[in-house]
Amino acid sequence: MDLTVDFSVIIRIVYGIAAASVLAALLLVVQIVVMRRWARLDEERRRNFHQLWEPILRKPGRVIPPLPRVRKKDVEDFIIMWNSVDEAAGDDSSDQMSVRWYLDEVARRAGMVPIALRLARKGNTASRLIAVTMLGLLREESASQLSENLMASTLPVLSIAAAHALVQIDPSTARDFLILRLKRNDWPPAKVDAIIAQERVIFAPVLVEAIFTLPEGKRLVRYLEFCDADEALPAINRILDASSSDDATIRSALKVLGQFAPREGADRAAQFLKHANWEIRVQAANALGRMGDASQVSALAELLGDSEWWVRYRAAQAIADLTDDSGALEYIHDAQSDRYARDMLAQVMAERSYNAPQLVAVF
Amino acid sequence: MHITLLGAPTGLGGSVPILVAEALLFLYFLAVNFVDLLTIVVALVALPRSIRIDAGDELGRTLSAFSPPVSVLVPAFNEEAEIVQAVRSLVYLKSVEHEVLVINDGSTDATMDRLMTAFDLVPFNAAMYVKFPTKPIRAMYKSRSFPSLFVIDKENGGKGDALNAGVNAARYPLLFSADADTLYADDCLEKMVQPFLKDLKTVACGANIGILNGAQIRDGRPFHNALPRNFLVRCQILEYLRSFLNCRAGWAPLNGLLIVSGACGLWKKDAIVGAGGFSVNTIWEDLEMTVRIHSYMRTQRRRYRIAFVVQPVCWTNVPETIAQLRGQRIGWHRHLSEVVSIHRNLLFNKRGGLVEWLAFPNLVLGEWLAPVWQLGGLLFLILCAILGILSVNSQLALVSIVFGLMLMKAASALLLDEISFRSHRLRVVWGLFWTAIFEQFGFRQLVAVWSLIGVVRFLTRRPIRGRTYDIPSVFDKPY
Repeated sequence: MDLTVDFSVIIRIVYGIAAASVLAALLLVVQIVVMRRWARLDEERRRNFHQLWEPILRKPGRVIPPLPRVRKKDVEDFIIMWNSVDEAAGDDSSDQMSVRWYLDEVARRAGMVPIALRLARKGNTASRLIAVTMLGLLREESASQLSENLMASTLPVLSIAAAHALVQIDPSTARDFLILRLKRNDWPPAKVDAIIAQERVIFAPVLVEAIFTLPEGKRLVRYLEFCDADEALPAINRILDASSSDDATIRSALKVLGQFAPREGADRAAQFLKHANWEIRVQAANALGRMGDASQVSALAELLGDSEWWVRYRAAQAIADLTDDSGALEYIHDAQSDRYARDMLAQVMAERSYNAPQLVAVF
Repeated sequence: MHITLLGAPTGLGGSVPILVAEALLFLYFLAVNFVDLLTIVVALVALPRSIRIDAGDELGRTLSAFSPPVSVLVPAFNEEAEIVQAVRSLVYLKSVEHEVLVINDGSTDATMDRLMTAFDLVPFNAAMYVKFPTKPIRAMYKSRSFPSLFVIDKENGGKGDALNAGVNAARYPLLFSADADTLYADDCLEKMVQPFLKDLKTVACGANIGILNGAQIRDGRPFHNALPRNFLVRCQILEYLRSFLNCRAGWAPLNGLLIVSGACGLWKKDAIVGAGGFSVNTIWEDLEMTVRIHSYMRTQRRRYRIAFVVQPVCWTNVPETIAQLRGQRIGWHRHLSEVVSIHRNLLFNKRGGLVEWLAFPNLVLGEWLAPVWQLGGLLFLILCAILGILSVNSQLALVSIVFGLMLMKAASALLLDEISFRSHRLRVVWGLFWTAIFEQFGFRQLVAVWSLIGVVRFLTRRPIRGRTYDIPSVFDKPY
């Protein structure tokens, strides 16, 4: 096979690419200049917007003042500011209720509901996120179907924001939120915690039922910490009594038990100090430190020689919590025959005072 | 197959070996630039999107308050000039619960004394969970004035050894590796924990590092109001922008980021422990650790992500003299040689993916072997000129495309900087654009020579201990 390559054509192509690259570089620099100009104009616009709207949104009164028109360019800034003011207002006391009424009225009279609906439907990710958050805070019923659709978004932040909005709009969907929580492992756990804590009144009635009836419902045990003790503790006891509970569930239950720290829970926590799973031993020691008394110190002292560092550490902390007298703590320290146990207790003593016994370096 | 070249140089210049050599150089150039352009396009697409999401993400700030706590590890070797201010800035990082562990790695100056006095240190008996053996630890201290500050005083073992001692003592699940000669934004941790909260698969996160030389402070952050007078610094500002924004911001969305800087890296402790801790046998540890985590996670067949924060969250001074720069670049390339040697099995691994078939080959061919190609090409050019067989037209074409693409890469880095942070005044941007033209003549060739020396020093196993260069302290100037 014969192939003819014209060298001069290659050279011309190379020159062409070089010229195109230089041109592209110059265009990029022009774009920087244009962007800088836009940014300056945008900063000015934003400054004007804040001067106009901050006094209205941040100083709520009993009467809605005459509202300026929200310009198209200001819509996202308005929603962001409104969301942050509304979220900060909370909804517990009567004062806060009147603030929420004021903010709702301002948003509605400013014509934000159809705008937020449109943004949530057709905007980019950030716009959808802030819009759906606003619709949730407004408890806007016409947004429930839209929120339900957005819950299926592949973007975790958008999905969770939509699910939160739906719960705010229609509290009866709290169970659906929990079902979706079990399916969506990509939801940021911290955000789920924050939502359930914020909407505890809505979630508390359905949480216990969901834990015991939903497949994998036991993964929801950790959220019991956001319920009241009289709702959470019977469920915790039931889980800890059940022989079928898996390790992760027991661990979560012990953690919640430790947070409520009922006096009668100490014996129950002590049952798990010798559990085969070290993470359960850690939680049991933690819980015992919060609700036990001096009679549990000897059981905890056995954990000071545990093979897991965190078990030793938490056990030592629990002992220190349960032993007010530093002399007694020193006595327990000296009584340990295991070097690791002594060292760990010495560390915790050092954390709480600066006169700890010297330890043999384990380094 | 018979190939006929029309219009090719005649005589020796048109002979097969010369044409093959030219073609190889050109193909190498095309391949490397293709990958560079790919990452630039990815960065240009991904970066504005991520910035938009962050800007509208009111949840972001809330999220960071729920972050797992972080252990900040600060290895220090003879850092008496800056250690106190560095530690103070790290103790005051906001929003995320954290402890600061300073590891004095056998300093021979007054580093330890300065720490003792400034932070009211008292001996503290720590029962560490020793995961990695390290050089002996002399003592551990706790601060009376800052309850979350601890200092480990140990015998000298290098940065990797010091970091391992920090890993042993760290109580928290996330580890932030910091340098004593770097200035951190107070919201540094707040920004860096977010990839871990948004994507649970994240095992490490790097961040954009800015250059401090000649900067002024605006809204608590360094800002270049005027172009630094020092030409070397100008070239390095451009290099950093290209490296962090064109490359790392482009590789991260592809999950092919191969370096999380030691000065600013957030790691999952589990991943570091699983991968075997920081290397004590290499002169630096950051590149090696990142590549090893890739290797470890892939061997374990675990899904993971190594993320990158595009906004600058810390700033450092860069070398201002030829001698400082030479020492730095030789050291960098020697470390790169070590990493290529240790992880050579990753290269075109049959069962691999993007890391084995694109990111790591780019590291080897586009970074490690770059000085060989660059200097080889230059020598070839000179040799051809001496032999009188230089085809001026074809060489001019080659030089013009090199020049054009370099200019475009510089401009795209400046544009990405504009999108991500806008850390320079417009006249500085323009000045940096001109720097991109002038750095082609001398600076790049010098860096290539030093990089080649780094490779040679690795091959001849010439020992290097500790840091091989000194740069101005970030705390020297009246910021």
